[in-house]
Amino acid sequence: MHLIVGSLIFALVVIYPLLRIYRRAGMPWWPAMVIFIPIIGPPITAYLLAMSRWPSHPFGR
Amino acid sequence: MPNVHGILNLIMLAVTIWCYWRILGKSGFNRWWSYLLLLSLVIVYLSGVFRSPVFIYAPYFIPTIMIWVFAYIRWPSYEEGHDPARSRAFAQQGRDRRDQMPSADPHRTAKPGFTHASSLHGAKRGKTKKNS
Repeated sequence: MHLIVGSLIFALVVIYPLLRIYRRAGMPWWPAMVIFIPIIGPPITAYLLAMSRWPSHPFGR
Repeated sequence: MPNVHGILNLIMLAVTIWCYWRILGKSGFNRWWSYLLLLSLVIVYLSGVFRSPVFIYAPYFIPTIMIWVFAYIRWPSYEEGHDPARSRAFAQQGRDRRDQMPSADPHRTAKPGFTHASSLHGAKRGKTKKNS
């Protein structure tokens, strides 16, 4: 129970800068919502950001 | 069972470090900053030793700080004049034309074939003129 609460608090604290990161990378905002999945949400969010192509990246990465 | 839980946490930490490694590389930072996440282990250990009530929330401190800083700091690869050849994120062997936008690169082809270096200069391989 404590793990779920801690994970949700982390998601609430981090969602705003995470949306900003996704916006700067040129990605849609909705994949960032995955972070609200308890415990496994943060790694999945990082994985999505790491493996996706960033549309606004200057070198197309 | 606690051992399994700890191993799962370590696997998740490793995956997260690998993801941060790629994200930092894409944005032009030194990828080794991703290893700051290992500090989470130290904080968890210390909070466990001292029986601190923040034990449950300890793993989230470092990622929170990193995400907030990363969101507002300038990203070197997005800076004008950023030299990708100097960045380890773009380091490649051989010819590297990633320093140009794909649309601005007139030599970009979908499937670049092998071209011998001598053919670029109009010389034929294996044929040399003999001076008589």
